[in-house]
Formats: sequence, structure tokens, C-alpha cells
Amino acid sequence: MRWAAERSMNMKHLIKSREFILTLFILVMVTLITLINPAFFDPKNLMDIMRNVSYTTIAALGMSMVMITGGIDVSMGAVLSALALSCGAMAVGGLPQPVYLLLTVLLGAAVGCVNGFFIVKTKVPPMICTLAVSSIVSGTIIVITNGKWVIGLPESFNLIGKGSIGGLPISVLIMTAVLAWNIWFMSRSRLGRNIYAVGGNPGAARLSGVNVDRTLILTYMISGILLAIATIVYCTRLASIVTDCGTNFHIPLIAAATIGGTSILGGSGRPVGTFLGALILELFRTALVYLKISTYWEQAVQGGLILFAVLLGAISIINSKKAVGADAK
Amino acid sequence: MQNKPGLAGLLTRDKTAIRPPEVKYAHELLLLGLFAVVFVIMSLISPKFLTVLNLTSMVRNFIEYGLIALAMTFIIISGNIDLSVGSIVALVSVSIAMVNNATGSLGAGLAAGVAVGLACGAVNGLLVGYARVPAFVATLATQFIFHGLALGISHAESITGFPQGFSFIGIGKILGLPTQLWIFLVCAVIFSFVLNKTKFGRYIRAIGFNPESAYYSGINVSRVLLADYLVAGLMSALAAIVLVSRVASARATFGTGMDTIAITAVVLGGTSIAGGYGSIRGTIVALFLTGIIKNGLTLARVPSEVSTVILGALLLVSIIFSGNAKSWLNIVKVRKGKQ
Repeated sequence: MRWAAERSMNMKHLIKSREFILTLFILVMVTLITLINPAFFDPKNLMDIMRNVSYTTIAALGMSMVMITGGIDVSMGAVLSALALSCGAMAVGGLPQPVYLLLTVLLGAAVGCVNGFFIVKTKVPPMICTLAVSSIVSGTIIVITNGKWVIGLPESFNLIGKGSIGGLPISVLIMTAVLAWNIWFMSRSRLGRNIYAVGGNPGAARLSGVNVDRTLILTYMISGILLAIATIVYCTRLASIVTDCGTNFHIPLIAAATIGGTSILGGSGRPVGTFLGALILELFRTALVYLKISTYWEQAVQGGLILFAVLLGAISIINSKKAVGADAK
Repeated sequence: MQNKPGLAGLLTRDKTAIRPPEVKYAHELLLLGLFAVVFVIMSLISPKFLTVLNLTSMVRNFIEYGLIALAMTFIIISGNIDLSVGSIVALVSVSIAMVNNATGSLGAGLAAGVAVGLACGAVNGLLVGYARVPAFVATLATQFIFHGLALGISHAESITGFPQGFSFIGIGKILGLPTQLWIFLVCAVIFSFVLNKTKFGRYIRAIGFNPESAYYSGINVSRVLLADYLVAGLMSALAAIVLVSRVASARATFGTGMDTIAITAVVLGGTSIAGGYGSIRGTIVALFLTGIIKNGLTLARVPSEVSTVILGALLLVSIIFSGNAKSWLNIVKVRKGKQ
């Protein structure tokens, strides 16, 4: 009996969950797009979509972690450009592949550390801090590269971005691994739980023994590592690396996280939601293409989706407050 | 003290005995000193610096940021932020040009531009003031939307075709000074008056200190914030008009990075990023300082990207050393309490 009751409770939770609604939404979108253009439902096309989703998801998981702590990182676009350029330059310079990939990841971790350190030690709002870091990084890129692209990449460079194992693209496999790790990390690991605690209520987290500063710096570091992995997956698809390849890359990341249910106030958000959010963004982009709408509208659509998701969050907070108030009476 | 209904009620003189916290000029004097030092150094280094031509072009360049920085001062004092101002400039520029070309009337174009600016400000104000979405997220989302709309309607192309007379605002002179400098001075006087002498000014300071207590002392927080963002939309539209008039064309990439520079000027000018206090005169001095630094770097043949780096660093340093930055975690806590 008890088991049955518990199971029906779980079912209710599942149906009410953001992930369930998003999945339904994705199914509806896929059906609609297929009706408009049956060519959409082609395995090759679907695989292409997954390739595009892969790097957005990996980086968006990092963004989501930062947002769960109550922060935000608008420097990710500029940092992605910097990481992609240095990764490409190291490849052209003749470093062995494992070495330059590892160095790129370390560089990402270092940038994340710097961001986190600044935010923790100076108490500057994350928004402002990463805005400043963004302009510093993108300026530095131009100074160093002089606007020149990285060209003449070795053949082996495109292995990760374009290669596949057993019919599955390597990029999608990497995304699956990162997603699985992130699900475990956020729900089971001590640091993951601390991230939620810090975002939910920093004061309470500190009083219950969480080292808030350390947690924040580690969060930004891990999100830097995820961004570096995303960069590798993204830039190894390219034939040459443009200096501003990451411009506005942070927009879809924030959109994916907020659509996926990550609270902008911190404290809540789940990896699967973020993945579904990234998938929805990609479907919207595909829909724009099939409806023959200029891709210039893409940014407006992404901004609208962020706003929609944020307003949805605001409404649910107000509703839950009403429910709590009703209980209290 | 009765609160008159309507937005106009906010602009009545603030006759209460309570004055803002004691006026401190130390910060402004420091900036002014810095400005003087940079000015002297620049005139010694570069013979081109102390020429009418250079000083005029310098002023013309940063007045556009300045108009936005005035409104941004209000927004930051109220404890909020507006990251969408640059995108509003883009959208307004494109709208002015497209309406101008479609109707053949510049007046219609300018009216459309101002209407678009006010509409953008209204969207921000409704989101922040009424839907209570945190300002940085709301305006970040609208930044993408406005810029996306500008890109979408203009197809990222440059639009020209303005009548000859329009360039008066951008490159003309009144009494030997650039036209836009006069516009800026008039706006600065108005903003300074509103901040220091009217109820509206006192309300935004109160909201910046503590929105909860402002609410409980009878201030219509939502309405004041809406007015705040409407002002930002209007000033962005004005900046767009000056910019379009100066370069005689409009593009969706206009205004990129304007928000960062405006925020830098405001924070460097001593306005607390956490809200509660700040001054228009601080913003103006900081604006001249950033303008002269940027101009000096250009004269020294430093690429504009490097000056972006330096201004970004300046923003960080000024926030860190202003001693105003309250703990971000505290701000988040206050916001959470409000929700």
C-alpha cells in the first residue's frame, strides 16, 4: 500500500517536473517541424542536431552550476574565443594532440579560477566582474592575434569534432559522458550539494560548515574546465579558427540553463533540464531555417526564450509563496 | 507628506528637512586631480592633443556614452542595472533610419526612434519593477532581444539616406562648442536637479538603500523603477539620435559595448554598485576622465582594443577600490527576501 502511494507521489512529481514538460514540448516541436519538412526526421540530420547540441550542453552545464551559486558568467563567449585560438595555435605549433588538449583544459580551469577568485575576494557582483573580464579578454585577443585567423590546422585536429566511434559522433559521446558525470556530481557529491547550499542561502551554508569561498572558486574552476571541453568539441569541427568565433556564445548558454529550470536567483537547477534546454534552442534554430526566416532573428528568439523562462520562474515562486501562505493560515 | 498621483507627482520639489547624507567632494576632487594630471601629461606628450579639432572630436565621441551614463547613474543608485542600453541604441538607430527612408520624413523617423526607446525602457521597467525579475537577468535578456530585433529588421546592413540638415546635431556647433555638448550640459543639469532636489531622486536613493523599507515607507517602488527605466530608454534614444546624426548612417552593431563604458563611468564616479548613493557630478568627472584616457590612447596610436582592455581593467579596479561594493551575497539575500 505504502509503496503504491509513494509511487503515485513520485509519478505526480515526475509529471509536474520541468524536465517532463520540456520533453513534451520537444516532442511537439519535433512533430511540427517534421510536418513542415519531412526531411528533418532524417537520421543524419538528427545526428547533426545532436552534434550542435553537444558543445552547447557541455558549456551550459558549467553556466548552470555558476547560476546555481547565484552568479552568472557573461565572459564565456570571449573566453571560448581565447581558448579556441590558443588550442588551434598550439596544434599548428606542432604540439602532440594530447598535450595541447590537456593544456587547453588547464587554461580553461585557470581562467575559471581567476574569475572565481576575483568574485570571492573582491565581492564584486559576478555580472560586473565577468563583464569586465569579457572586455579584457576580447581586447587581449585582438592585440595578440592582430585579427588574424588560425589557419593551417593539422589533419588530426578535426578528429574529435568530426570523427565517430561505432556510428556515434565523438562529440555526442563526450557530451553524454559529461552529462552523466554532472548528474552524479550535482546530486551525489559533497561539493555538488554544497553548491546548492551556497546558492540557496549563503549565510545558512556558512553556518552549517560549508566553506563558501572555496565552493565558489571551485565552481568557477569546474565551469572553466567544462567550457574548455566545450571549446575543444566546438573548435575541432572548424577548418580555421576566427578571432571572434565565441562572440555571444554565452547567450544560448544562459538561455539553455534558464529554460532548463535553473533559477537565476541560485539554489536550484538540474543538469538534465539544462540539456533539454540546449536541445530546445537547437530545435528553434532548425525551425527558423525550415521556415526560411533569416538567422539574424535567432538572437531575438533566444532572448525571448530566456525572458519567458525567467517569467515562468517568477510566477512559480509567487504561486509557491501563496501556497505557503495558505498553509500558514 | 502626501504622494501626488501620477508620474508627474514624483517631480515635485522635495521640501522635507532631511537632506541626503553629507556631501563629500573628496572622490570627485581625486578624479578631477587625475583628470588634470592626464590632461597636462597628454598636452606635453602629443602636440596634437591640445588642438581645437582633437578636443572637439573627443567630446563628440564620449557625449553619446555620457547621455547614457546619466540615466545609468539613476539606475545604479536605485540598486539595479541596465545592460540593454547599448542594444536600445542599436534598435533606435535602425528604427530612425528605416522610418526615415520609408516615410521620407526625418521628423517621423525621430519620433519613431524616441517611441522605440521609451517602449524598450517600458519593457525593462515592467520586468524589473512589476514582474520583479532581477535587473541583471531581465536586462540581459532584453539586451539579446533588442539587439536581435535590430539585426532582424535591418539584416545587419548599414542604412543611410538622411537629409543634409540632420548632421547639425552630430557635427554642428553652437557658440563654438559642439551641439551635443550643449545637449549633454542641459541634460546633466536636469538630472542633477532631479537627483538632489526632487522626490524622485530621494525615492531612488531610498530604494537603492533598501527596497523593502522604501516600500513600507509608502514609496511606490514598482512605479519609480518603471520611471527609472523609461528615463534610461529615453536617454538611449537621445544618444542614438546624436550618434546617427554624427556618422550619418545606422547599423545594428551600433551601441555594442556602450553599456560597459557607461557603467564604468558611473562606478568610477563614486556611485555605489550596490545602490543607495551616488552623484551626477561624479559621473560627469569620471566620464571626462575616461574620455581623455581613451583619446590619449588613440593619439598614442594604441589600438582601440587595447583601450577596451584598459577600460575593462579600470572598471574592475574602480569597483574594488571604491569601498562601496557590499558583499554580493548580501545583495542576493536581500533580493531573495523580497521575492
